[in-house]
Amino acid sequence: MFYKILLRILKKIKKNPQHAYSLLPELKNRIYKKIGFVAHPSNAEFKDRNSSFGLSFDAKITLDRINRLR
Amino acid sequence: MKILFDLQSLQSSNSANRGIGRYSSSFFSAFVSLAKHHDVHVLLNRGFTNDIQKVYKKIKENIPSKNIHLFTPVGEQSECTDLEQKEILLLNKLIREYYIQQLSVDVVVITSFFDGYQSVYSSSIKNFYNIPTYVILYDLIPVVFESHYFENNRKLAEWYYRKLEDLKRADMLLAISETSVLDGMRYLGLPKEKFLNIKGGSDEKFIIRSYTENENIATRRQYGINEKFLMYTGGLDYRKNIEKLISAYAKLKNETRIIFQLVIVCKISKKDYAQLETIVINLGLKNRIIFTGYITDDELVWFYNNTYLFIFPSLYEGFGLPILEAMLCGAPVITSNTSSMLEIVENDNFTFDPSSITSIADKMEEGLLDNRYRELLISNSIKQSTKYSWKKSAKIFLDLLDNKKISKNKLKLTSDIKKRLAFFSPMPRDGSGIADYSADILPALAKKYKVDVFTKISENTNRDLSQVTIYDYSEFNKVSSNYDRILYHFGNSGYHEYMWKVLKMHPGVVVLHDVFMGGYLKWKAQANNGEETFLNNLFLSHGHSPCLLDKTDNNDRYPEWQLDYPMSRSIIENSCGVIVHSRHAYEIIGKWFPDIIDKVSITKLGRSALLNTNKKVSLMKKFCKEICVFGIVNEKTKCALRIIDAWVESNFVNNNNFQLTFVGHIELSDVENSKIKTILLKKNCKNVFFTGRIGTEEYKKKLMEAYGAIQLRDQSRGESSIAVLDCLAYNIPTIVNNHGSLAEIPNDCVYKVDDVFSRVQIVSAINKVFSDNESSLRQKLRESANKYMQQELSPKKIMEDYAKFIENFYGDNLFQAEKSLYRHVRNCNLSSQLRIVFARCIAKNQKRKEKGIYIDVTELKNLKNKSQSLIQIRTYMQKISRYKKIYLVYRKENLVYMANTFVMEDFLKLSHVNLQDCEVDIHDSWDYLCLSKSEMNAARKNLIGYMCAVRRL
Repeated sequence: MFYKILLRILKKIKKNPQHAYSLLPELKNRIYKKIGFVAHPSNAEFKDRNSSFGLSFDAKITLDRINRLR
Repeated sequence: MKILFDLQSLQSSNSANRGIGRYSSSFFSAFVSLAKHHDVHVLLNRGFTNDIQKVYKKIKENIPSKNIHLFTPVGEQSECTDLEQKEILLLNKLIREYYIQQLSVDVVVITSFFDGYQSVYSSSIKNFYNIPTYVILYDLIPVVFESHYFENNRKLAEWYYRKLEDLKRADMLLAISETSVLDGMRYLGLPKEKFLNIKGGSDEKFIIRSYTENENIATRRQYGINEKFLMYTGGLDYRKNIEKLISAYAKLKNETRIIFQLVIVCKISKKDYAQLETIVINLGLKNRIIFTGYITDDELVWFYNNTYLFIFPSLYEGFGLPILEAMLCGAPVITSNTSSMLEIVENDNFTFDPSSITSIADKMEEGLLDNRYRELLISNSIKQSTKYSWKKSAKIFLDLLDNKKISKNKLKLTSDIKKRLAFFSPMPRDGSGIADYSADILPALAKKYKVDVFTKISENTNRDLSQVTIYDYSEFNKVSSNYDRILYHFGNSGYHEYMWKVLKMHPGVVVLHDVFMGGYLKWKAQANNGEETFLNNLFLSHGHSPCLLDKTDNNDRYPEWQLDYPMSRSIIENSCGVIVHSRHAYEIIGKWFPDIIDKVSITKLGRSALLNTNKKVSLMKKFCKEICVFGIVNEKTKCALRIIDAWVESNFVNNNNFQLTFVGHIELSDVENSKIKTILLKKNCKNVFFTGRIGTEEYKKKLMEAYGAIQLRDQSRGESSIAVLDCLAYNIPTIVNNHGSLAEIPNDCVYKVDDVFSRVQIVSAINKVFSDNESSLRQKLRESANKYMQQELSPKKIMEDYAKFIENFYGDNLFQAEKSLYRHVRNCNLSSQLRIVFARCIAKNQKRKEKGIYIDVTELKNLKNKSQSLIQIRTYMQKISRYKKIYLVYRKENLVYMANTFVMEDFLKLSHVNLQDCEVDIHDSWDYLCLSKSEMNAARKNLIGYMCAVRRL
């Protein structure tokens, strides 16, 4: 099933390469839907993975403690 | 016994709508109904957001919502590299085990172990924490039919075999049939004692019942059933042997097929349907074989009750739930002669060889055409079905738990070797009362631990303490791993500033001398650009509530009313345990932070008693008897003005043999100063003196010389009075009021007046205690105080309490769980990105008992005219208790943030403070209030997976 979705979207990209960027998230979301995984608040973690900006109180302390272990 | 059911099986699409989901749910419900004497909890996975509310509600029918726990796995996996994928799977196992460890359960029951290949489903056994784990073992079919399941999928095979290795670590495998037990023994190589056959059961809805003619006609018409029919129900995969079933049906005599249609009841995909339809057409059986597709349970009961014969030709089963369901509905059943199916029917005569089409066809024909044989099948169904029920299964498991004594795995940390303890405290000559206290108790503590002191070393610091070495606190980071225990002495002053940072990094036991930290934080805010720290602590401890009330004093950014909040939550949270010195302090913490009061223990404040009392007597001034007031001189908390006011009314006002001396730093306002002068002038009183701040040696001299002491307190907030203990230790007859921690001193050791005292009371107390005729009263007070100090407050005794508490705190499950979490993370060697991701995830998985309210201000934030809504929020705030935490929050890109800047700009007018908005770790069971209906709907979407009550303000 995943391959089918993948193929369908790759075909679309082949037709309109300029839309590739906008189609990839669609691919991701469709795969998630198939495996019963829906985006929820904690998933946004990957949006801004390089930054600790805006971490919650607890997350900041946890990160400091993890970093101390290095 | 605290039992945790891991019910992710009800969430995962792999098992939720199949036998495993049905088994887990029914077994769990039956268990809960029987196990009233146990504390049953449930674990769910917040990563499965699809039906989470539905599953949550369903479980809530059986157990209270406080017993349902949701762990949050690390998020999306597809955006990671292959390497990270592996790490994330590992981290998810760690998160789940860490979360369970925090719950301190006696046993975990995993209801579906072989689930979670490439999904957020997470299950593992003792990979990180030694949690007693039982697993329901349905079957090991992929290993039995290895070539079929793994031939083209090496990754799946690797994953499955790793799971098998993991499974061996389970304490007990709850097999659902004898076949599963035997398979487990064979493929896992485990002894029989590791297995318990809990069998299976069936829902109560599967019963023999009759239907009206109309109901029969309607269902038959709906599915195109014209004649009598035989049926199959179950899955459609290879193992279920559907193709052979169809071929066997095709082999029946034409006349038989004309009488009996074959109905295949199951959910079927378009692709499978197309394949099977081709087979059916090729065999010329169109209209003779019916595929119903998905049907409801009620419809299924109709099919079982109306079928002429139920056939189940599966090649292999762990249990075979449909067989039992059909039997319960009185259907005649024939099935395969393999695995658990034979166990259920218990008669070879009612089974066939599923690999042989002829064998299947023969039995089918016998069941359809031989009435006597069919009657035997029916009576067998009725007899066998009584042997199984969910309650019977649950009872088997319950008996096992009742007979088993599982010891709480609380760590026992006793050993003969002296542990190394890092002792954080100001040291003498720093000018802090806690410094003298620390120096006093250190020799006794050094008998229990090998103590090193870490302090902020200054020119004044006395470094010549016997038995301990003193280091600067900045060296601790390098040597922290050398210490087994850490003890911090926290007080409400700048002397403890460095400890706030160290405690965050190195959690340890905290001796909390003051519950209210506002004094220190205000000092920091004003003197050291520490406004962020002030607000951070205020928000963390008490939410935004204190700032939302309309009390802002324009002259002072941090007015007195803000200091009425303790702001010490982060110290208690970051510690592994807290020691306080009075019940009063304990009660204050309980009132403000009831969720973390478990972390607090009480012992008394220790003090060395003066052993040579004769020396004191000889030193006491013979001609001028000095009545002292020890400690900082102020009116608000130390009642200086009220003491002078009483003194001038006493018999000693103009007695040259007596004098009243205030020993300590003077903190009187100009108004108070002039009031004192007026009082003294009015009575022409010349025997009141002030020493101002004096050194330790001079202070001790004053204690030796004092004839008596007056120590009155007001507005105490849980702090312990070292000055009063000094008076007792130095055998000074002392007058106190019944306030705060002073109330806890035995009545025969001090002369007590009421908490809220009158001038008359103090005057009469002074006249009585210090009069020449009352030497016997003073002697009695001295003797009792001396006895009390030596028996109850000796540093030796108090340090025994300290050591007991320290060891208890360090043995605590939660603390140990967190400590080992960081150890495991170190071994994972995470990239910097993953460290951030993981820190976020850990924060979401910290168990908190705290209760509070979020108020959503997403729209309000950007409005120009906010006054109306601000009034609405304030009015609401005033209605609820000030002990309740409230956060103003807003939503942005699926996340919820704390509206710190909004609070500071619109409520506090502090636009220059750089305190950023930060993500909120949403707590389940908190209320989430919105200002409008549209926001409420939007918030509900944002909060999928969280069990907050979203409603309108």
